[in-house]
Amino acid sequence: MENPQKSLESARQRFSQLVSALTNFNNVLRHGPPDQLPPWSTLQSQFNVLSASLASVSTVLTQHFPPPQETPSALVSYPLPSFPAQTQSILLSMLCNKKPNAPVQDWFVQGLNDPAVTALSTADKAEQNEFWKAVQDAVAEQQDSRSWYDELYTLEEREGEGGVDAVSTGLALDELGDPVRREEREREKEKEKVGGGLRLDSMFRFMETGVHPRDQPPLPTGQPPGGGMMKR
Amino acid sequence: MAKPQHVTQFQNSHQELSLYSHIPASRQPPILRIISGITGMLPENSLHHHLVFKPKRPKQPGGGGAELYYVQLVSKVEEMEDEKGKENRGYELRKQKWKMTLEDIPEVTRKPVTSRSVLSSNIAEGDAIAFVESLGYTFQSAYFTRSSRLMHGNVIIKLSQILLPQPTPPSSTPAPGAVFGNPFPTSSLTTLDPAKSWILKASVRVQSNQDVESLNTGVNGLKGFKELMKGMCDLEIAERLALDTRVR
Repeated sequence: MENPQKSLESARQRFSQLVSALTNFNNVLRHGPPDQLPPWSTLQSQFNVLSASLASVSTVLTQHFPPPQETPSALVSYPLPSFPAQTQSILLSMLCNKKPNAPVQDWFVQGLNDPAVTALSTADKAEQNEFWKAVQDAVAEQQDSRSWYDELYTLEEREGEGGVDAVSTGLALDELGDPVRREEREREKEKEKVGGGLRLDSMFRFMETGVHPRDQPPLPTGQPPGGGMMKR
Repeated sequence: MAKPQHVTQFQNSHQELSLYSHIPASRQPPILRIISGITGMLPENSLHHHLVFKPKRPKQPGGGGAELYYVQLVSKVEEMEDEKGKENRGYELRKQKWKMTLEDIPEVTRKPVTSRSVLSSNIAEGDAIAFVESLGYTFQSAYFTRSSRLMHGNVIIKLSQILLPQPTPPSSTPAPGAVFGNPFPTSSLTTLDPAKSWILKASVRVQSNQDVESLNTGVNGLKGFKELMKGMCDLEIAERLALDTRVR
């Protein structure tokens, strides 16, 4: 980004174009008798305008604010490390909240209980499911066509047993079709450790005192008993 | 710092600065190769026999009196194979070159490394075990360490595994000295850790704990090596109480 002012200015122009297109579309929708949409040719032309302005916004953004390509400065998309989390904690928690807020949740409930939805027959539902399945396939195709940062593995993951193929990215599915969770793998690893291996501390204690790990009393935590007396 | 008793019996003393890492069995070969590459030398492999001794005299009640410490006798086991590949030669425990060592509990310090004082003395002749027993110690246990040693500047890198001698069957009458363990045949030794893990120890020896300049050089050497090994293994300070050599 050589000239931030210029970049911001052109982004602002494209955004205002998008806003005016949206306002225009809104006006068209509200125009005319209620409960009736404008003719499809009008809608079509409005959609074209909207789609063109969205595309130009997207172009400007990628051109002037390119996403990090090789060395991402952070592994999370947001909040970025530069976000003033100290002073804006309320805003941050609002942004990070995955649960929809109360009014939105009300809309969900309303929509699900809508007579138009509840009155659907099983045949209708099956048809709907089929439709969504097709959508899912289309999305999956799009996902496959993009490179999801193939190189984004840690050194540990690369050097670990089985290489990057053994890494659970959260995108993989298990036999039941549920995503394989990273924590599950970690837990399994932990189990392996408990299954046989000794802790470094136990081995140190054996080396120093010759007491076999199975006979070692637990190490005192915090202050040793009678700390004052044994002060060294 | 209260110096342990028998200080006068030790010829050598130094301050040891160290960092440790736990290496799973599967990672040991690549780690060794990497360190060998870094240091530009082949590892020096050895097998050591350790005998741990404990003071006979119980600690005085009430916490008074001097602290009592475990001491160790350590000797290098020569692994020579004769022409037939037979290694089960007569291992003469009492003819080994023993070194008596006393390691203090690591000091309480704000240094980013474990720091402890180590006293040692080579026992040139005579029966080392009888000598240590005559000093008021009693045999506690024996173990072996198989280790690969490398040098990187001032840093001594030791990758080792703890091995246990074959337990003597309780029914048969034990041969004299059997409790101390016999390293041969080496295939009879079993690892202490069922997972067969290794310990990586990076250490620097400094002559005196008063020599602040050398201590700093040592600490920086270790820090540099830790940085070098980042991503391969994490070298950390050891839990101080795990290295406690005082008798409780």
